[in-house]
Amino acid sequence: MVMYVSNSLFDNWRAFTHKAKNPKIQLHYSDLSFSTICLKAFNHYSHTTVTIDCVEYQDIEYQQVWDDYNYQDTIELLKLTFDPADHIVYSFASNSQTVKGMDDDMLASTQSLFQNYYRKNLGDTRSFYSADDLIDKIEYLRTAKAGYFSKCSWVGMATVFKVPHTVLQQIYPHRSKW
Amino acid sequence: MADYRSGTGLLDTWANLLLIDLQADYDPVIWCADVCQTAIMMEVYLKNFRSNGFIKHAKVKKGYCEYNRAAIDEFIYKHKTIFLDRLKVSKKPSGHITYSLANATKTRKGMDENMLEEMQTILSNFDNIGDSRNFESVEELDSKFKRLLNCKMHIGSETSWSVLCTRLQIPCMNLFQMYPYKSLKRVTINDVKYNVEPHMLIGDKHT
Repeated sequence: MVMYVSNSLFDNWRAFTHKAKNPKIQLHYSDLSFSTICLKAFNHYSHTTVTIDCVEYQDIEYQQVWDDYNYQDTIELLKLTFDPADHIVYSFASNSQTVKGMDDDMLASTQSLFQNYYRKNLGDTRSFYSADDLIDKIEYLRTAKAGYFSKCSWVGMATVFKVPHTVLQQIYPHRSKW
Repeated sequence: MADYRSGTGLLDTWANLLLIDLQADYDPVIWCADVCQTAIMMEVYLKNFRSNGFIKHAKVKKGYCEYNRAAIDEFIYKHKTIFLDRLKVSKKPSGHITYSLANATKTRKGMDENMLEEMQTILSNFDNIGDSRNFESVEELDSKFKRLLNCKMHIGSETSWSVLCTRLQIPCMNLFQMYPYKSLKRVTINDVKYNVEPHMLIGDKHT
């Protein structure tokens, strides 16, 4: 079975979960360097070690990473510890970058609601400087008492780390897609 | 003469009032669970929206009738600006933000106690317009409606307030808790009831 892995953080984690359960699955990556960062973070939190297939996207029919996926499959692989701190985390997307985001005015108003010293903006889920940068952000997420996000990979990550979270969806004037 | 239903939620009641006018019904009967609530909602509707007079003649009775979904969809929800076109008070957006948070113990679209408390802390400097049902007086509902109408943006659970925002062109953001409680909405499709994610698109309709 061959799966295509996009440059989305949680798609990568779903794919690594499939691979951990069934090592025969081949994973073909949209962006190998991004997936390498995601994999290092995944292995940091996982009981098992997944290795990367150095294969990029090909013009073939792929199985989707969300087919037959269950959050519980990832949860069972993770070394989960509960040490919640007092901060909250958030990440809001612009509709200029994703259909799931919000327009500029709403984004500015929403960011201003959430900005202060005990709130951490986790930022974009598609660009990390390094595996350490991603692990730092996951640590903020993992220990948060709550998370607030546009519909993005942090939602899936918060679910597997069992962090209470809420999704914000603009409905007017722009309507964010789910 | 036709029957109309006034539910406990504001939007359903206002949609039925608008339907009376649109259908030019000379002898409407509004069935409701709470006559006082319906009277409050009617009075505030008439203060803020133009009516061609049919609503004033409606008889309000305690009791139940089926929600006329087909007519409401056809005459009201298909027309995005129908409430805005009938607004008779001026809309003067100011800088304030309104919010309304629902509790999961009262509606599946709400959030659990911990999330509610956290959101209330985040939004504590803004204007809480509260529940979109159970109004104590005409003044209370009228004040909440005017604050919503003139806000810079509204944020909250999916309620009558947030749907009214889309109809009155008020910037609006919905909140859906995903974990540990998961916000849900009950919909009826071909007489079968389902619990679905509140934002789900079924056919061409947002649930």
